[in-house]
Amino acid sequence: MPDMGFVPVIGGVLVLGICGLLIGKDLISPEKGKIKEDREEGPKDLGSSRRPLLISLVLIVYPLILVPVGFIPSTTGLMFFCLWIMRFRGWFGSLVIALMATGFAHLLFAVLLHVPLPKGVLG
Amino acid sequence: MEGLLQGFSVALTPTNLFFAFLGALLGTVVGVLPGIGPIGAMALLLGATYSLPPATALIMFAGIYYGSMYGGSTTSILVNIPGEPSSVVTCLDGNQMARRGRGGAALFIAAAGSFVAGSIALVILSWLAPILAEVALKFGPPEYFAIAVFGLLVLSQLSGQELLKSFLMVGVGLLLSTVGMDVITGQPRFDFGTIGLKQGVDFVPIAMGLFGVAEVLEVAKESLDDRKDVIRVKLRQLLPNRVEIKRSVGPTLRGSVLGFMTGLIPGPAAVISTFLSYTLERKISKRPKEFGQGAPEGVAGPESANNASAVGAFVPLLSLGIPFAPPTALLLSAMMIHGVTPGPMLIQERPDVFWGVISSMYIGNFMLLVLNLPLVGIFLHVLRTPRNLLMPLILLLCVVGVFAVNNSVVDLWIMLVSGIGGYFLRKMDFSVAPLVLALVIGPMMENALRQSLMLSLGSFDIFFTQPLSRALFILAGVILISPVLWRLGRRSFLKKGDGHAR
Repeated sequence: MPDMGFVPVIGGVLVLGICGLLIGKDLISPEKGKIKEDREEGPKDLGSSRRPLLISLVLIVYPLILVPVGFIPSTTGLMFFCLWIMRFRGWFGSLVIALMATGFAHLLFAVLLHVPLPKGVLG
Repeated sequence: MEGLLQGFSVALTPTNLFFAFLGALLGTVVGVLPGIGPIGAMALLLGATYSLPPATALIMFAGIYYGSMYGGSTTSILVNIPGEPSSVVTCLDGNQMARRGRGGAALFIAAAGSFVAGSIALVILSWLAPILAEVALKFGPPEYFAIAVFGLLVLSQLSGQELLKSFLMVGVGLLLSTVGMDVITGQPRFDFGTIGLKQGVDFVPIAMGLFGVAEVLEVAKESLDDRKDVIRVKLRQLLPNRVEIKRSVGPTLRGSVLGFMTGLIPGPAAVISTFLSYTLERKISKRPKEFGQGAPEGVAGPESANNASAVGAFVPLLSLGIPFAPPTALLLSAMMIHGVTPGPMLIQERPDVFWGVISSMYIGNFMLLVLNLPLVGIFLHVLRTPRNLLMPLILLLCVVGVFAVNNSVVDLWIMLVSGIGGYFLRKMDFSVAPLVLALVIGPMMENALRQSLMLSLGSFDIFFTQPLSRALFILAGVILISPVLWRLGRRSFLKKGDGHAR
């Protein structure tokens, strides 16, 4: 009789088998498996390829600090760095937008919808 | 008819009317904006609808889904940028019409076609869904397992990527769905001792990561200077002339039927229906050379088809409880969060939800017609929002939306991992739709498989002794091997041709 490991084992074997086939296929004809190059035309700023990495780093830090620091400071930080990385005006404009957006999100979720957001250092 | 009247009594309450309007409006806005689609918008709002009654929340979500189909056409016609994948085809003739000064007429044809198609599809939905739900009451675990396998196989074929890649995504989705408490034995699986994973991997953080965070990361890599060349349209230019109306009637009706039927098929039905409709219209047209130069048929057909298919996709969801496309998978998630169990019993247990949602779609469809044409200028202003402001705002809604669902930091990690993973998957040409659907269908599929095997004392014969499951498995087999046979046949035909040429 199938127990609770039945489907995970079948799924695991299936995934491993397909991965093997895809790797084999890529080894035979490497062109098809190659990661897409940036197809964009026209001038590009040099930092564009670093932006996803920087945003990912900010996103990794966010869950780590959300509970101890609290929703408002950590989310303002997240927004500020994302706006700054994506070059939305200067640092002051980014900070103002970050504060406003976080304030609006807090108002909507914590005040109106009573979602318990972490208070952190603000108690 | 009685059910539909009951539905209207639910949908016509001031609260539900407001949320139908809000859903339609939000749907139009996300349809206008390239990048954020109906799935992202619904996922973002999931946390914000907790306090609403189930029918109200679902009325709003349904409004977002079909509203996005309307909004997508506006940017296709006036900016030549499809807001949604289902509006790509509309760019071909819609934008050409706009460049020749007939942008207003193209917008009217798209909106009126969408309205007519949506209404026709709703009439069929109101008639078909209860019948199918009654039939589905007779289904047992083998039939449900067969439907799920059939759905995932067809979706893999239609997702527009290499079949092996689709299967891999299905496999990953199924594996993710096995995390958490086993429904049959009550034992935890793959939770690594964390409470957050005991309840399983939630669909919302995965969807937000794959569709929201991955999109933000992708846009961050692109050039952020995106000034758009928008063609302006005045209100009095909105009416099409007699010839344009005459040329749009047939494609609208054909697109409605074709779109609804495509909506019943698993996969990106709305996109497929537009291509099918465009090809059909060009094939039967007396002026095929005008296609791509601004033919009204090229706007009316696909726009009707994508709206009808969006309505058609509700049939398997409402009557079987099985979503065949990512947006309906999110609707299923929303239903479960609000304590509504979708499936054949829905019509009996929660007629207010079943008929309320369907009735609200009639009203929402009319709202969209009234909303879309006069407010086209405002929607185009939304399009001018700089992407380097819009993307961080989407990110904010993603993190707050995900956290609000379970108040769990684990969910934030899941969203983060799936977002970064989704970004790389996009780069490697993997479509994530099969993963998302497999994650949603997975628990039901696993239960159906194990219950079937328990009934048959471990024998797989049960799937071939039941007529429906046998038919579905045979059909799935045919679908699976037909591309291989087609490719082999084509290769041997080409070889023969080469031999003759020599």
